Formats: sequence, C-alpha cells, structure tokens
Amino acid sequence: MNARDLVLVPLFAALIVALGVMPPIPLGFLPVPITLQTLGVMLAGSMLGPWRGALAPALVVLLVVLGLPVLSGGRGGLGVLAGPTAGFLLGWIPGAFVTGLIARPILQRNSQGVGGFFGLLLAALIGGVAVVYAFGILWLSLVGGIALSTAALGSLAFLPGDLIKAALSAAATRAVHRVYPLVERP
Amino acid sequence: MRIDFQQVCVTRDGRNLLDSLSLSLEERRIGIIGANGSGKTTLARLCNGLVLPDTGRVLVEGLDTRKEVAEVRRRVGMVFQFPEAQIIQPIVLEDVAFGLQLRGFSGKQARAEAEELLRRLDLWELAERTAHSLSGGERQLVALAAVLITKPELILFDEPTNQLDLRHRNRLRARLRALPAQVIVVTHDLELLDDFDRVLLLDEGQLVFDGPPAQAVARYVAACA
Amino acid sequence: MLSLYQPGQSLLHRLPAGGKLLALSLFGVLIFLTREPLVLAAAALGAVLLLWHLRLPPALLLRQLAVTLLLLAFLVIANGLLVSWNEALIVGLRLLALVAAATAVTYATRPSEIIAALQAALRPLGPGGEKAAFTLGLVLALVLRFIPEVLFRIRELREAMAARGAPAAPLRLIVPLAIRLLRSADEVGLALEARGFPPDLTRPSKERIEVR
Repeated sequence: MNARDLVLVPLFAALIVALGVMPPIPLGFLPVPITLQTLGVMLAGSMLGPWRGALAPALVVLLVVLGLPVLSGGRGGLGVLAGPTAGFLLGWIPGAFVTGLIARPILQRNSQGVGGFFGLLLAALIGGVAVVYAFGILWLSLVGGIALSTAALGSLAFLPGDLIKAALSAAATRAVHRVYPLVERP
Repeated sequence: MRIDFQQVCVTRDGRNLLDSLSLSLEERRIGIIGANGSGKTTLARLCNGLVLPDTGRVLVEGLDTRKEVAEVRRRVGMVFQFPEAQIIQPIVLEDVAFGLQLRGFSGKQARAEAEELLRRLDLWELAERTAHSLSGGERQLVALAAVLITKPELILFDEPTNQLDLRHRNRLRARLRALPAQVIVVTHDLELLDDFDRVLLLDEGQLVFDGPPAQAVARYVAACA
Repeated sequence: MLSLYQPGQSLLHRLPAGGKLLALSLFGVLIFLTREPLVLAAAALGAVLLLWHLRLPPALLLRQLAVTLLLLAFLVIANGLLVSWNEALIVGLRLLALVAAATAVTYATRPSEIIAALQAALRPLGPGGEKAAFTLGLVLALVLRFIPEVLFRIRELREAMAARGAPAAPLRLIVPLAIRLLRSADEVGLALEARGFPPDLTRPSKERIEVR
C-alpha cells in the first residue's frame, strides 16, 4: 500500500464521520429523516474500491471502539457495539467491500452511459443497502430475540432514505470519475 | 550537497515535462523560476525522488534516486505550497516530532527534540494547537519546523509563499535566509531570490537560462511582458 | 475531537485497557451462552452497578443511551407479546447487562490506552507487526487530523451554494467535496513520502542524527 492509498482510507473515514455530524434531513414524504453517514459508506466503496473502501468504515468502527462520538447524533463507545443495532454499523465494512467489488469493473469499462449509472446504483444498493441491512437485521434478530421478519419490518422505515442515498452515490461516483479517474483502465 | 541531472526526461500523458536535462546543482541558494507548466515543480521533485526520471538519472551526492530514495530523503527535506495538506498529525508538537518517529525514534525522544526545536524557532506557543486551527502562514512555519527536525542538508521549497499573506511571507523569507542548510526554491515570488547564488529559468520543459538571479529574473520578466 | 472518556479514580479506571476489553468480550460471550434468568439478573445488576459507581452525569448518559434504551424497551415488549414473557426477560437482561458493562468500560478508559493496547498486541506478530502498529497509529492520527478539515470544507461548500442562491442540490456538494478529498490524498501522500514514509523502524531508537 503506497502513501496515497494509506491516506485515502482515513480521508474517507473522516468523510463518513463528518457526514454524521450533519443533521439528519427531513423530507416530507419520508417516515424518518435521512442521516447521511451511510452515503459516506457507499461513496467510500464506489470510489476507493473494495479493499480501501472497506477499510474506511472499519476505521470509523475503530473510532467508535475508542469511545469517540462519531456516529450520527454524537453517539459512540462500546455500548453501541454491545447494543441491538450493532449489526447495522459493522455491516458497513462488508457493505462497502461489496459496493467496491461491483463498482470497480463498471468504472473500468464505461460508467458514463445510462448503463453505467444503473451499474453503480446496483453497486450501492447491493453493498450499501442489502448487505448492511442483512447484517443489521440478522444481528437484531439474534440479539433481540425477535423473528427475522419482525426485525426486517422494523428496518423498513429507513429504506426509502437509503434508496435515495444509493442514487446519489451512483450519480456522484459517475461525475467524479469523469473528472478524476478512480480506476485505471485495464 | 551536489545533485547531478544526467539527461533527464520526464513525460506525462505524452507531454514533455522536462526534456533531456543535464546539469549539476551545488550552490548554497538556488532558485527555479518559470511559467506554470514549465517543469519547475517537476525539477524540484526530482531532487528527492518524488518524481523519477523516465530516462536518464538523478544523483544526489552520488545516490541514485531510483535506487536509494529512502537515503536521499534522509538528507533532503521538502516544504510544499499546500499548507494544510503537509501537516499530518492533529497537534503541532506531534507533527514536528513525526519526522523523527519515521526514523525510528521513540515517541518520548521525538517530542523532546520537537520541543527544543520549536522553542529555538520561537514557535513554542503553537505547540499544543491543532493543525486545523492554524493560519496558512503558521502552517507553513510549522511545516518548515517539521522538516528541520531531521536536520536535512538540502531543503526544497515548492512555491512556499504562494498562499501566504505579507506578514507571513516576510517571516518565511527571513527564516529562509537564516537557514544553514542548502536551499533550492521554486517560486513566483521573485523578491525571494535577491541574494541567491544561481537561478534557473525553465520554459516548457527546457532550461532557457542558468545564471545570476538579476539576469534570470530580467529575462523572465521580459518573456512575460 | 473530545472522547466520551470521563476522568476518574474508580477501580475500573485503573485497570489496564487490554484487560478490560478482553474481559468485556468474554462477558459478552458468556451472557449469550446462558438462559438462566437468575444468572442474567445478577450479571445485569453487576453491570448496572459498575456503571453507577462511575458517578457519570445523568444527562450525558441519557443522551448516549436514549436510542438503545428505547429499542430495548421495544424489544422486551415485542418478545413479551409475540413469544413469551420469559423470553422477554432474558432478552432484556442480556442487553441491559451488555450495554451497561460496555458503556462503563468506554467512560472509564482513555482512547490512547486502547490504541496503545492494540499496538502492543500487534507488535509481537512477526516482522510486519512493528510496522502494523506504526501504521495503525498513523492512520488514526490522519483521521483525527482531517475530520475538522472535511467539516470545514462541507460548510464552505454549503455557504458558497447559499451565496449563489442555488437550490439545495446535494450533488453540487458531494461531487466537489469528493474531488477535493481525492486531490488532498495526492498532496498528503506526497508530503508523507517526502518526510520519509514508509518508516525505518529498524534503527535503534537512541541513535541521534548526525549531520554528515
């Protein structure tokens, strides 16, 4: 890992933290206000690729372990990891990895057309939403003693916000790649 | 310290950043001037191996930058023009100490040396400040301290006064004059070069003039008219 | 960035960080291995007492735990109604024990101690261990260095957008922000390399640098 790679991880981790400081955005038609942190996770995955992308949220998890209030609402500490929603946090790591895995070949070929956008959208949805929710719901069910279906139902309220974030991530990644190539063409 | 350029070419995206450059730098105060894109930053970065020549080689006291870059960087320090990106640690004292930690010093020792240096440079009041809270000029002075801590023989400055206000420009200029190390400065700030020994003028990757500062500057100013 | 750590003199404060983390992990595993309500009640009581003896300001605790406690209450009720009240008790006690214990450890342990413990654990792990420990420290320093910078950049971009009277377009914030971050990485990477990264950790640390 060269110096630049080493720096990209903490920079995007800082982005994830900074997005958590931004207050949640209420959108009239949504049941809950949108928090922006998972957008940072999707961006890290899409723009940095699977490995560096996964290390960025991993670093955020480390900050949580250290007791820094880096999560939305100024939360942090081991109490979060001991709680029922820990899966949604830890899921960021495999989520960003999967986003990066799917996004990378798209960025290498052609991300600019409509196909490219939908490919990047898929990357953000599968990684940043599906994988994260899978971990979150699984953990919630195991630790909270409720059925998977109940846990899934409870998480539904956040889904529309996350879908919007995935679209933003795809659009942003595409726009950035045009100006600053995120991968080398093979 | 002597730096030899032996037929050095650097190309990026099909463009010649530097074209077959051969020269030796040994003087105590050397300036590099030229328009943007003339290759001056590339020339400076060849001196510490941040840029490697595509053909030819660069020897720093006989060390090939392609082969012994770690040793080269032990002896050559660099101050960049982007103040906020070159301070790496969150607290000033830690950042100044960092260079020693990269050399294997223990944290305790490194901090002790950093304290001594900051006091000597009259910057001790900044020691506990966060990097983010510093002004551009303060950052540049801290960046210089962070470079000086490893006692390099040569210090490269890449447009050091670009982002500074007048007061900090003057302060940096004074610091520069007082430096015992050899200095190579890439700059648009032509007053900086008044008492320099040698100034190189670059244009589109070619060395167009090489000599005393007054003449180099005059030539540059004429070309820009 | 200020951590959640609250200085104090309690026993928990004085225990070594590595030990506390290991003990907590063990506690977590054991909590999930047992279903005995009495055992779980004792564990929960112990954990709550541990948290209580730190004498933390209630407002602070509430802010951190509000969401978790609400969710806990919801889970207890859901279990009670959907499964059984016995199950609800088990779930409630388990989570209470874990969250209380974990929260207590966080408030009684300095972040620097935890990092030092992690680095100490990495060092003996083969030749790369020393370097891994150093890299961990560096990466942590970098993220702490750049959080305020990124926040500042976001504010700057928002102000610029507001000044132009532009409608709130999130992309017009995210795209320049991301590009700035990517370019910063180039610059910081160069600065790191110029300073001598990667580090030479083989030199004896007492050696003084001599000018040749």
